[in-house]
Amino acid sequence: MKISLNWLRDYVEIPKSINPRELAEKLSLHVVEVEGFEHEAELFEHMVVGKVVSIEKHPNADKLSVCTVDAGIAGTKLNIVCGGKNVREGVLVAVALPGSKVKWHGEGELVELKETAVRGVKSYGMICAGGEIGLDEVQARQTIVGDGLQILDISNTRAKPGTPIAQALGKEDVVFEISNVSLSNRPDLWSHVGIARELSTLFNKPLRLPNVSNQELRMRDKGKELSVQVVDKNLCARYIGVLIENVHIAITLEWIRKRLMAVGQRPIHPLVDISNYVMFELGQPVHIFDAAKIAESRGTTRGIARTIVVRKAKRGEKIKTLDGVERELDETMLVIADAREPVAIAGVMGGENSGVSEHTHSIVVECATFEPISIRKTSGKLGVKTDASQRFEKSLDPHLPAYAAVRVRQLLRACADKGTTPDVRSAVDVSSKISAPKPIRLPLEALNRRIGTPVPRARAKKILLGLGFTVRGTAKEWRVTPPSWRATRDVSLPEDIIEEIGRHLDYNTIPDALPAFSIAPPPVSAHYQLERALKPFLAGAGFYEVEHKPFINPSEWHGFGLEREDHVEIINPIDPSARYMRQSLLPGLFSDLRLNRGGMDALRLYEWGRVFFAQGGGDAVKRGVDQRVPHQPVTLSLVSCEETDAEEMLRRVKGTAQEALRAAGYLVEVKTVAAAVSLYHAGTAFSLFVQGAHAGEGGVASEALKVALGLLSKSSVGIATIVVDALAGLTPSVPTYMPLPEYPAVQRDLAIVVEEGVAYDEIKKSVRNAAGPLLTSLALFDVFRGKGIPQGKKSLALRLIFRAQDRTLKSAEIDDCMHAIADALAHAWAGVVR
Amino acid sequence: MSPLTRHETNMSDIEMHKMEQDALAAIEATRSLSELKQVRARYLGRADGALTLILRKLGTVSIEERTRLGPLAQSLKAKLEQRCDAKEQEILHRGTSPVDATLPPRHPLNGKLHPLTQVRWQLEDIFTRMGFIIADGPEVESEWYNFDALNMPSWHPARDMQDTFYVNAERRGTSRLSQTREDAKKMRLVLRTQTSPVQIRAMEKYGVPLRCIVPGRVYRNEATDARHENAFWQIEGLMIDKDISLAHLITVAKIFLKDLLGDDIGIRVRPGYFPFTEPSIEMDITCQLCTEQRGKSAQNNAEVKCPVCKGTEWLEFMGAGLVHPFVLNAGGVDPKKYSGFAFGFGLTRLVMMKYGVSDIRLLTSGDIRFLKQF
Repeated sequence: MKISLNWLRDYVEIPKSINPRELAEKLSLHVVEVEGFEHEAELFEHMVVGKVVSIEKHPNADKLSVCTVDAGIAGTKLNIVCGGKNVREGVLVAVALPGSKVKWHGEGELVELKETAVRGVKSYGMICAGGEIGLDEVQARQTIVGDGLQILDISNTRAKPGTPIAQALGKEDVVFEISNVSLSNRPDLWSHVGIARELSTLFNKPLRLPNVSNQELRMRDKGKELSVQVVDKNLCARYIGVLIENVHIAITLEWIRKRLMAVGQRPIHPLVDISNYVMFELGQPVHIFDAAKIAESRGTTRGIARTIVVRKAKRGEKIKTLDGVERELDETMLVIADAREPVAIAGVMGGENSGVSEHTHSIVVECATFEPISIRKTSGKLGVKTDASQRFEKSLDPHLPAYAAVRVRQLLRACADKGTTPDVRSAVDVSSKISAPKPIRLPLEALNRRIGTPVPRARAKKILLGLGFTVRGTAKEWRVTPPSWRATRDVSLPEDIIEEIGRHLDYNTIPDALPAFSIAPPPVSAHYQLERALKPFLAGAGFYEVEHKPFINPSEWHGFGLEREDHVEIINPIDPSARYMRQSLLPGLFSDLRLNRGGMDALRLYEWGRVFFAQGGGDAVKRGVDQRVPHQPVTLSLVSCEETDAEEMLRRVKGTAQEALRAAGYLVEVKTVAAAVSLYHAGTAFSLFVQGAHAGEGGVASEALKVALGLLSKSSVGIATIVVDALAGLTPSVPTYMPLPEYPAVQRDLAIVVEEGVAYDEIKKSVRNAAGPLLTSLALFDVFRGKGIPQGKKSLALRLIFRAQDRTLKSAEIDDCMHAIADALAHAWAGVVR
Repeated sequence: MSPLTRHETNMSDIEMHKMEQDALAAIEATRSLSELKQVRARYLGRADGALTLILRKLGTVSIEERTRLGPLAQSLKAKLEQRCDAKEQEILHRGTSPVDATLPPRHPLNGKLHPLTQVRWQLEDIFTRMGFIIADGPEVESEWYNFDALNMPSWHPARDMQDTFYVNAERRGTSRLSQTREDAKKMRLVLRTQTSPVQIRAMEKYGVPLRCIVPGRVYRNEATDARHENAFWQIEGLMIDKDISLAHLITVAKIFLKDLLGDDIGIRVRPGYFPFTEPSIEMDITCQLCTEQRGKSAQNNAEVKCPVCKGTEWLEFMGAGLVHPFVLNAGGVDPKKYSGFAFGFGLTRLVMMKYGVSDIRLLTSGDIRFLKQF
């Protein structure tokens, strides 16, 4: 919303010592967020008043002349080529000097003016027409008459040559841009009077409202020519309709146009200008109908009252609104209708069928209070947001329409063409019972406690009175009654009153204070501990953490064994293809592998985040209600991509999962499982179990998946997923100290060649059984296939450590063990010791 | 007499000279202490060093031979020992292998935490040091927790401030017709638009007094560009106790902002509006980019056109306020007995500010070239 500084000055004295920047800061610190401000004069930079001293014909162009202009530069006169027909010696003109920005012939974008030659004659600037320096259409029209361009004659300003144009034309306003979001709860601030009221409290200066006191409209009893029926009283608390005839306004007063221009409203039509002016002044939207069109549309004879009906639209009813768009209405939308059809969408936009034109001399002025939610819904459904709807949906003061109606009539009279007087024929006010604001009890102790410092009573009271509140009560408790323009929704609790006082005091002056609280340490969540253990471990193991938005496109989950029906689906997605919530972190990680594949020999990535399943199982949607939000466990998935075979990759990824969980305090059991999905390479799928609970899974990516995702087949991709939520309920184990051995160990290596199909696990069992208790540890240190090993066989190299608890072992004892092991392996697996 | 003996005892000067050359070359060529030890033993070993043997045999040869060879052998022995000692010192001092010190370093395996995680942990650490719990809640949330319980009923204009994703979480495949009546009664689900619903869940779970922060991902149904995402991170803070005031809120905020951004950071409080706090405030911080610029060009102070804060010197940092009595009630807390403060700010935005990341989408790009930098 735009707010003009000059307009504000109509209602409150703003100290001259305060510059716009300071005023913006004051508003931001106490009232609303000011997004910025603009000096109107900036548009007129490098433009000055010039006096045309002499005129000569342009030597090379019939329609151009070469003017000598006094632009207030001592000792120099400027040569300027001019095409204006009305340029005369002695007139004062607007001279745009090089560096200024003008609109050529009043059209298109602003262009920076340069010193140039026009048909061979040097020109030091430009003598401008009104439109060329951004004056409004009315002023511009005064100068562009007849054929050809007419320059702007500003002789009537009697300004000295060299005077800045902004000063000469009174274009010295400053316009503030107020953040609309910061006004969401303040219907009263959508107006100059509302902002001025805040400033009057801030500067401790009186608020001067437009004086309409001797112009009371006497409602109901005047005239019978207009009838207003409010059918849906719930949606329209008040409707004032005023029928005025003999309205003749050629042009609104200059100060009205200036103000509207300042806040970004180009004057359109005198009646529209007046209704806009009142809206930006008071915050009350006003609509003006052409009364004749309403009458004609009914086809009634004179003498019968014109009828305004405030009702819900009928299904399928249509209206062409003032923006020229035909809109279909439904039964939830409130319309203003005559006896036959809608003439406006209530509070949103008027209809073309009843709009004012140059031929309008009889009008119906509408000042009403509509129900905010209904306006909001209608505006949302139709996708139309207007200055009016924005104000109505904030919940306007039902007292405002009467004031606005009088103000409209006052301005109509002020602008009326000489010798004409607008004639109020009928004024009707239909209102439900408007309840008076109720007092709110404010214990003064609560005021101090919520602000956190003692608040001077007198200061607090002054603030409230300045804002229009009334304050009664005792030294302990006040009874504060909000003004009607604050009582519609915004102010209803003691906290609301505290905010009014607090913001005007300046929050930045509250002395620092810290709450007293228990030093007992708060509980630490299991997720926190897991994250702090797993992530640093993975970083140390060379893994990069990635982050993805949890949206997924079905084409991405192809190959991961995921089904559409298990997915949570977004009903109103921005990108309809990615309208599902991820059920696995793997598609994202694989797309990263593809993205980064050129860069590195080995890629290790992981993501930590929630995955989503289309079934309840999460928390309750509301305390005490059975329905649950979807199951959405926090999960960690990692992928590791390197040039190695599937067997080696499987070992690495199992090791990573195991060690990562051990770093978090969990001993994990890895079980090989039959893969149900095509995600994993045959035989590589495994499950992770912690304390008997399923805590994740993994494997090596299948060839099919790699091909589908375009990954190199030389590389293997290890995958592991840890369901963090599953671990969160388990207690990490604490290691128990084992005494260090007293006697030396003996190490022996054993290489055994077996059939490919014999699993290492089986060999391990046989070795352990055969070796007996002296074997304290057994480790695989090499698997070899190839030269020297028959086709279809593999060689497993084991390192065995023997030790006795009570003595130093003798070589012969170990030899016996080794023989026993070799025999057992030969017997059970036809293993040949190399 | 064996050829060896002959050789050793009837050694000519030339042969003696050759032994000297060989021994010196061998000493010179050694690269390690163990090699030197071998060379020393070969010539000077007590048992069978070549020179030792010669010296030992001197007693058995003729006097002329002895007087001729004796001093030669003795001086050679002294020379070799001196050379060996010198070589030993050299090895001890210089090391055993050549080094090009300018070869690039080799790094151990080292992955990276995502920048969002790094900054989030920094904030979590600050708040846990102050005794706050770290809480979390579902991202697919019910309308009740996300809006209604926070004093934002469906008609509330404040809902316009947050465009919402609605979701369907019914398993498809089951008969639709039989479900419709049930469905109608069900509460709508949304992708949470803010971390604030966890205020209510935390009150329900932990009771009061309570102090917690809630880092989490939130969603807004809007078009994305370099500065806007439809999923990003926020951090919410909540403290409830008897007599919590605006002074407490502002002071706690100052403490954590100074801890996070340094003691020089300026903080400004101004009024704000949120349906779930009353009074509501906004907190701004000084723009660090133009504070630097201002410092550099003190002379043209007023004319700094900062692209970040647009010359205002201030950046919006977070919204906050005292918890609205409606919200305390919704969380089962008696507003007559307790009051509290709440605040919320954009973690993603803070990460971008901290590292100067100009495009928000890089954070979710998965590009290692980006992730490596943090």
